[in-house]
Amino acid sequence: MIGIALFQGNLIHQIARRVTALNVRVLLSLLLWFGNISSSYAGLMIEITQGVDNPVSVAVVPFAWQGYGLLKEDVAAIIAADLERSGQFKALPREDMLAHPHKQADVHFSEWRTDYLLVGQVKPGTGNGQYEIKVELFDVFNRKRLAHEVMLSGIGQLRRAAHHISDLVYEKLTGYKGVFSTRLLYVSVMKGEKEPYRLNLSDVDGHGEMSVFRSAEPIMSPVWAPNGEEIAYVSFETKRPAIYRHTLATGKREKLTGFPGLNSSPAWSPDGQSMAMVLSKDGNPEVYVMNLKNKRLRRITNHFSIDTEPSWMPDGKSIIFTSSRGGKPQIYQVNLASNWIERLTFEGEYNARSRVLPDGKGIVFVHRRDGVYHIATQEVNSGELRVLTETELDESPSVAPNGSILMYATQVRGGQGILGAVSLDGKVKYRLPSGKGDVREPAWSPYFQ
Amino acid sequence: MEIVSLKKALLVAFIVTFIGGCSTTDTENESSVSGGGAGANEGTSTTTVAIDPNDNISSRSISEAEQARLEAQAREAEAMARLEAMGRIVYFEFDKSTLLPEARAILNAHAERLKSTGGRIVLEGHADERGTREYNLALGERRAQSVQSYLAIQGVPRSRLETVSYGEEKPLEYGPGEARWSKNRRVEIRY
Repeated sequence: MIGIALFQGNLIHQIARRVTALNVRVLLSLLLWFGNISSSYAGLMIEITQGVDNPVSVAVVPFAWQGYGLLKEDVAAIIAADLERSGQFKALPREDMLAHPHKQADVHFSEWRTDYLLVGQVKPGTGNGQYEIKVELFDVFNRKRLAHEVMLSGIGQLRRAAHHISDLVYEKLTGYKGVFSTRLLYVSVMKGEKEPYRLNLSDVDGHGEMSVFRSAEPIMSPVWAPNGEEIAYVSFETKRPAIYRHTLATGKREKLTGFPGLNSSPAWSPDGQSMAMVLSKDGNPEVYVMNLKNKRLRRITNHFSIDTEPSWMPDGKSIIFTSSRGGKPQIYQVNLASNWIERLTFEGEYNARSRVLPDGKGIVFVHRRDGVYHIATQEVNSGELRVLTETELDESPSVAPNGSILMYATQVRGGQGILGAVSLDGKVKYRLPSGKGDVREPAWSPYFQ
Repeated sequence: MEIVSLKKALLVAFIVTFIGGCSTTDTENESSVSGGGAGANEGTSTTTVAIDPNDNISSRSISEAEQARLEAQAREAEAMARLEAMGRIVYFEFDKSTLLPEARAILNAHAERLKSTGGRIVLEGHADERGTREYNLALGERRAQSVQSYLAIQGVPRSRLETVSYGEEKPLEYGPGEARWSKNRRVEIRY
């Protein structure tokens, strides 16, 4: 699909520091309203509700097309929208561009007042059904080329190629890996339809929405395998809950459990070899780990209270989970070698459905405060808790693989379920309202190989 | 205040179940439960099917068999009507799975019927939308198990009382507010 033929230039850590230094104050007002850039599927749209105080400005010049007819996608517009959605960048409007250079020889730095400039061109590739895309990124102030890329894209993969370029630009300018090429899995409910429950997949900008699975009965708890090729979820299609494993490329499904009682909360281990889950076959909701090769189960918790919502630490050596053993739901950690259990959350009367940040240094979870449900994050070592959202009934946080931002489910007035995103530093916020139906339980994919 | 809302909830439960009638055992989809009396007939038709084989091997005339069948049907309909008057739903407090006093009278009526007729029932546990989905799934199961234990104490064998939890996935009423939430924190008794 996309192959990088050439890569030049190093990470600019100086710029990374500069971007971070700009994120000083929390901006409370609405920064930007982003109109309808939804796909023809009328799926999710993006509304940026809060960005950083002084976003880095970047000009993404419309790419030149050196072939016949019209290009299907406006690659530069997709990149500009990606960068703006991160909340850390402000794209220069096209009408404010004095020139439209496509390569270094045409660039006159005096014509640009943005911090950075991205130019590019697309031409038919040498292979059949391919495009060749060349991009160049410049530091305007220092009049310097930062990166030069040539990549190949399948004809139908232009959007993906654009997201890939966004990832490269983001990494070059911030020092952090971009997540514009990753995908979202979520549950959508279209009330009144014959199969109202859908498991949908889309790009992280909401484009390219498609249903992976539809059912007349509820679908819950979608999660990704660490390789990004498989997913797991709970389906009530037999009128009883069961955990299914589903290969995305082939659509092949395997029922992993269908025990009496709960079959809930699947969570793939970081090495992909086992799956944590919640079963109540022994009378009480407990966390188990299934070896996915031989399907053997190992019981991890043993308590008469509710134990549920397991999530793996990145080293695979311990699992964090929700338990009501202290009277109210709180987050606990269990060491898989010793079965030693430690309580992690103490602030607030309700902390549940935690997920671990990719570096293992923090967790995110649903936190109830004054009867209202927010998404909060807590450092594992210091135990310091910060509330990230101010909407009500926020739930199901899922962290992007670069650990910079998380997606969660919330409701708008009238009760429609929508997805929202908030950066882990709380400074960037955007929402993905759906054209139709209730959307919930987002699961952010890992990086794809 | 609390009592008034509970009474309201019970009244609504009664109306919902009465209008909804008895759903068939093969469908648990709320939207498919409709059409007043048709529901009750469907419910009894299950029993009719069970005695049909006797008709075939019986030496009685068709009219006699038919009369017996109709009488049984009438008795069954009467019993079901009494149950419907009591309700098929019991409600719970927020984040609780302990039975409320109001639930006991309803469950006693169901226990009596179950002891006299046999057959299996499904106790379907539900939660309101507040709190996390997986935790609510566990809470719904707890509620169904509370009902199961109570019925078992009344003499109904546990093997005939299956529990299933839908958590907050199948609300009776959509949207926020205690008036709606209180109707969604429930166990439905399904024959």
